[in-house]
Amino acid sequence: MDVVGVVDGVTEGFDGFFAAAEPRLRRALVARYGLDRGREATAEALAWGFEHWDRLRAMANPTGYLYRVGCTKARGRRRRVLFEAPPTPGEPEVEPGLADALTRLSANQRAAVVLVKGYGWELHEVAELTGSSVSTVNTHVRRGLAKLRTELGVEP
Amino acid sequence: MNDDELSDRLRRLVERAQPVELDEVMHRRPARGGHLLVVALAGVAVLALVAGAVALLRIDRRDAAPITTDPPATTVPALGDVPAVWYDARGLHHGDVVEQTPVEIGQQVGGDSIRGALALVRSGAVYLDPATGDVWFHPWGGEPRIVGHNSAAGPGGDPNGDTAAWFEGTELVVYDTAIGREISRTEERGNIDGGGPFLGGDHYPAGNGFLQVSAERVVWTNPGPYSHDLRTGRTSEVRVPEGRYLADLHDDVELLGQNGALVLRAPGRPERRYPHLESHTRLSPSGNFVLAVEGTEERHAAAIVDTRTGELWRVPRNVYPWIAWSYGDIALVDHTEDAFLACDAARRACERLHPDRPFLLPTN
Repeated sequence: MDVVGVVDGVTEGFDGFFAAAEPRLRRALVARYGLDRGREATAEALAWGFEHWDRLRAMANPTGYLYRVGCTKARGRRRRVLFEAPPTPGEPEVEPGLADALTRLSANQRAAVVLVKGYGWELHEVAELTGSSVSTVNTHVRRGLAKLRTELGVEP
Repeated sequence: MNDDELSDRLRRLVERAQPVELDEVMHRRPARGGHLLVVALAGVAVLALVAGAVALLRIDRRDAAPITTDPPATTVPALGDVPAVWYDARGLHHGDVVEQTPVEIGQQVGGDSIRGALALVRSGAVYLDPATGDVWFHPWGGEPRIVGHNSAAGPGGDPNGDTAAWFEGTELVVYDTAIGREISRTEERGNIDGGGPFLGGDHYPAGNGFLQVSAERVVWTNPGPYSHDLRTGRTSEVRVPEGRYLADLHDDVELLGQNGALVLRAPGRPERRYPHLESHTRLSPSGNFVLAVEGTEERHAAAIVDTRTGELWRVPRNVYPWIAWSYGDIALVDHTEDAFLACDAARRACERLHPDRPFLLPTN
């Protein structure tokens, strides 16, 4: 009974954090490591956070900490294909060359471009999550976007 | 495709990864194999990973502004090729390069201070993850890896060599970062348990009780001081004259505290006493300089003593300092609200650096 009580207590505190952190972590780690590896890293990081919730809840930037945990978990599981080809090539909502073009960016550029350009994050939000400076994130976004636009022929 | 469509398609691509469910997280035990795999493969993978790690480096090229120094100080940039090392929110700074650590190595303990243990070896940094007690070796430009566990106070290191040391409970672990394995593990009666200086002290911003780590011996205090001889495997108590205590040492050079004064003992030279130097003090990695705090009615600020000549140089600015050494004879002096300086003790010149606050200095 005691054990159940403890677990319930931890879960109760973890719920709210999980709801807020999961989408942000997943999007950042998937952008960085690809669909499978990024999602797995997200699950691993959140599991670590659940197990160490007492420590994590006291941190100033727990989501940023879990992002680094996720980065650590993802190492050593390298895959050449980060984003599988679209299930239906030519489907209007999916750009066929986008996955390959993203793969050719650096991991930092990929994460910054996806979060800022795709999800509308502010630069400081990306900086806070990744432990980078705002100017560094800005550089990643600028360079990454320039490459994507060139490769995909995006009109300004 | 236009820019708005690009945004939309980026989002659609990433959202193809299914959300992680809470139940999935709660019933999953974190795989520790990730760490183990990294350790196991590190030797094989390190060359391949270096290229990737280098790509992750972020260059911080803020201008260093030379500041006025006491004569005969120079006004040329102080650092030259010797990097200043510290850790802040942007990462682990190594000269102009900022490397990302896999974990946060500074644990916030107040609004403007963090604690942690950041030690240097010749080819990288060795640091503690305060959240887990893991000890990491972070080769410069390479892939960090876990080398120890369950350390309360974290590591010390040899900035001139490859040896690092830390306590795991009551066991002293000595590790060779060049060959990547433990070279000694011994049960000790006096272990550094994370109290004392690690939690913050006067003029030491962070750190632990390791006084010297080298290929020959490991010396620590708090409690102690003790010296573990790596050749014989024996540990002995360092004898200190009655009424004095060992503040720091480097080979045969010793700094002793006595009645609020600092005593310098170096082989072949007469003992020198500095009545105005507080015993919060550190010897440089070369052993050639003492970084201390001068406390008089007019001045409470950093000072550097040449252990070979006994000469004292007053570091610019009369401001309460936090002190540490980086590599070589580069002293790190933080004036908290004022400036953070990296000073070349040999050339008596300082540069102003620009860390994000709070930040962590090496334990050296």
